[in-house]
Amino acid sequence: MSANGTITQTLREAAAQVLSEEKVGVVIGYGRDDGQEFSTPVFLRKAEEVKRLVFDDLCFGNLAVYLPRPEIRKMGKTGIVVKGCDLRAVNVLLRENVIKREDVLLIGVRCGGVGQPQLPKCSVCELHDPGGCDVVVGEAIEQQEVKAEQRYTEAGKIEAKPAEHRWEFWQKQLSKCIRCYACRQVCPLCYCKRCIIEKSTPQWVQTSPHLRGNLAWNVTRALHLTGRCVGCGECERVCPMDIPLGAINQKMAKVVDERFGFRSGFSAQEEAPFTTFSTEDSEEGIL
Amino acid sequence: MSEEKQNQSEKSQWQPRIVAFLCNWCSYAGADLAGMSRRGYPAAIKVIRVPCSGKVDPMFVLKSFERGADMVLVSGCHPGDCHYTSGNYHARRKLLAFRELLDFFGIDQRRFKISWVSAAEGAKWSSLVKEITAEAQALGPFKTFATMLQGEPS
Amino acid sequence: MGEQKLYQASANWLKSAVDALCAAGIEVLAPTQSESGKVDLARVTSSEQVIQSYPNTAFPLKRLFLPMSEVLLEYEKGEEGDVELGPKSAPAKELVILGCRPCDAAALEMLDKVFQWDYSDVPYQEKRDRTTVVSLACSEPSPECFCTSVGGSPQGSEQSDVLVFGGANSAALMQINTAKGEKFIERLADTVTPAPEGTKLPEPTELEQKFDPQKVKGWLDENFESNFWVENSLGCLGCGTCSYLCPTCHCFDIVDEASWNRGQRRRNWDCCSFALFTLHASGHNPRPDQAARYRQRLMHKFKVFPERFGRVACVGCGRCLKNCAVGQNLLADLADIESR
Repeated sequence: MSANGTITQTLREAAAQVLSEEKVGVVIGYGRDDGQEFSTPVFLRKAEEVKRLVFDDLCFGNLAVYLPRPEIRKMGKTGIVVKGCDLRAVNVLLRENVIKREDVLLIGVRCGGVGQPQLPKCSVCELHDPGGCDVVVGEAIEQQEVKAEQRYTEAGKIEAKPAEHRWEFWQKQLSKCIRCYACRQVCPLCYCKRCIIEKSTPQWVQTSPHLRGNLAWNVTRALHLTGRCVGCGECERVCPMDIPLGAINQKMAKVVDERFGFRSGFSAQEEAPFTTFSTEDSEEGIL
Repeated sequence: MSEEKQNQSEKSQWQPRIVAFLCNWCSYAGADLAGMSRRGYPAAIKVIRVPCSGKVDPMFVLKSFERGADMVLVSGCHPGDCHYTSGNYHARRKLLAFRELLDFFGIDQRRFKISWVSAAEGAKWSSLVKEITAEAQALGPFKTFATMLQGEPS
Repeated sequence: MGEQKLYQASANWLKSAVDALCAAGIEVLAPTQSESGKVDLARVTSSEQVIQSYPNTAFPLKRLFLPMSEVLLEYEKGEEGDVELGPKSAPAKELVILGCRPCDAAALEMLDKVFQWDYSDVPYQEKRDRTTVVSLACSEPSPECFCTSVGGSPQGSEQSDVLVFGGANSAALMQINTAKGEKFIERLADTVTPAPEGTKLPEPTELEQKFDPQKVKGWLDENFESNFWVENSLGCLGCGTCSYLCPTCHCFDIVDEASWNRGQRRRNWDCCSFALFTLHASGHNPRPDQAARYRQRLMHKFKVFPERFGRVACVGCGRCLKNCAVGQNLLADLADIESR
């Protein structure tokens, strides 16, 4: 049984309409070819192509990653299928002036969660119903209340270990990293034209996949996403080495939530925690 | 000298290496004042002058550890006194979050210090350096990074 | 090799081979399963760590000969101004790889061609020389497999010193292909016996040919400029997963990592999907977008490599399509090209 069973048809109609009325040059959505194990991105230019579009509980990808791409922007205004979690990434892109609201047409889907079994992030989803979209498809889903302590359980599990066990754990995990940068490339918010890892004067982060290079890379990645990451979990899904990257991002989300009462991506207007400050911020731990 | 003896004398002579990033306007001037007032402080600390504590990217800290620092200190103007109005407020957010991340990885956060020292606080600078040098001495060499430096990928 | 030498062993051959080799003090890499369920070749010291039934390993053999990161040179300057150079090479120890698949062994042929081309690469060749490859013929190809389309076979013996048929649930039959293979058999002593006269190899496992590399190359020859490259790379994220998991991709980058008085020169994997791969110091990038980079990857494997070395640089293991985060499907793209 799928929580997202009947959306496909209404989604196709909505996409066909915006394409035939030439409101957009392209619709980015999910499709599924024979034999594919999950739904993958499709780029539709004509209304006739909408039969390729699907929405089911294997639509993992966060399609917002394609919005800043020059080859997509060339096609004209971009229509994009967004789940609630994806919308949060779009909000950050808007907030950071990477894209303009008038250049995108948001086709929101009311998503009951993806994955078989359902991903942990979906069981604590607070945005089943994506607000502020141009078109919304799917039936209303009852929004359950999510308590603060439910949000950061993955990070919590690691926090609960003693420090030396944590280091032992991360040494083992980070040693696996092969530096394919799939985590960076799949992230909608890693849109820098040139990543710090690719800057060599000076070479801040060593590119060799040894532990110190991998630690530097993962620390840098986590910090550059602090207060920005929306917790879509794509980095962890695509990691070919199964490194629990989501837990690192969750930890930093928890830090900004607890310290600054900030949660990323719920609005396109808010100020990010590191672009602003409060004179009342904690002084704890400063000599 | 026999190896054992050498090891012993190395231990007693071992001096931590502390890298300190000091803002140009307050902490650097504070350290300067300590010197001019002839207030001594341990030479284990290596000072790097930066325009503002807000300039300190956590990469600076990580790089220092990678290159063998046993402790890193970032010091700036007291809140409200930043030469650029708000650099230290930004530093405060960024660096404290960074410290939590280090802790999450299980890296000893006592190795990373943050302080506010004004241009008038030569005495504070002197006692601060004495205090953290003693702590670094007690903690011993920072093995986490030292072993990584030797470590080869499998 | 004229007459084929065949030996037979019990279904449990893998475990007894591990124990025999370990007892002889030889380094052994054999299939193991991680907590997360991933099967991969790892150094083992006892047969208890070994699993006998699996489709293929997560990683190909490449990293054993071309490590992800390898120290080519290191130096340390002493206080007197004297310089110590390294790395000190240890005497090469014998290594036996047990249980890789024929496609992964065949990939060594492509790597050999590159690393022994105009210059014999010393670090690579040392590792090749010390290693014996014992492959396990496939009886049940996975859905992503397409070795028969690129000149391979589920029972291909190319670059396998020994090819083993059966095992796990049935008696094993071992085909010896090289002198290294013969030495391996000697080490197994009485756990193997020569197969009786007239023993035949099992019937080849069927695997439908999914495209014709000749036809693909014909199209590639004519279509450097084509909208195909743009259309089929729209989803590509530009990460290195496909290349890094590919048994034949072999590009590398050389970096110097130096500090005050010492440093290392390392050879690290690199990948043509990265924008930085071809970025010039001037800022110009001859492969400015993902379409150009995607084209490079296909062209290199199916056009340039065959022109230079007489065969495609792909063994049909299917790791790239299985692991792609956005479902980029090399096989579908090649079939698409063939139909044009």
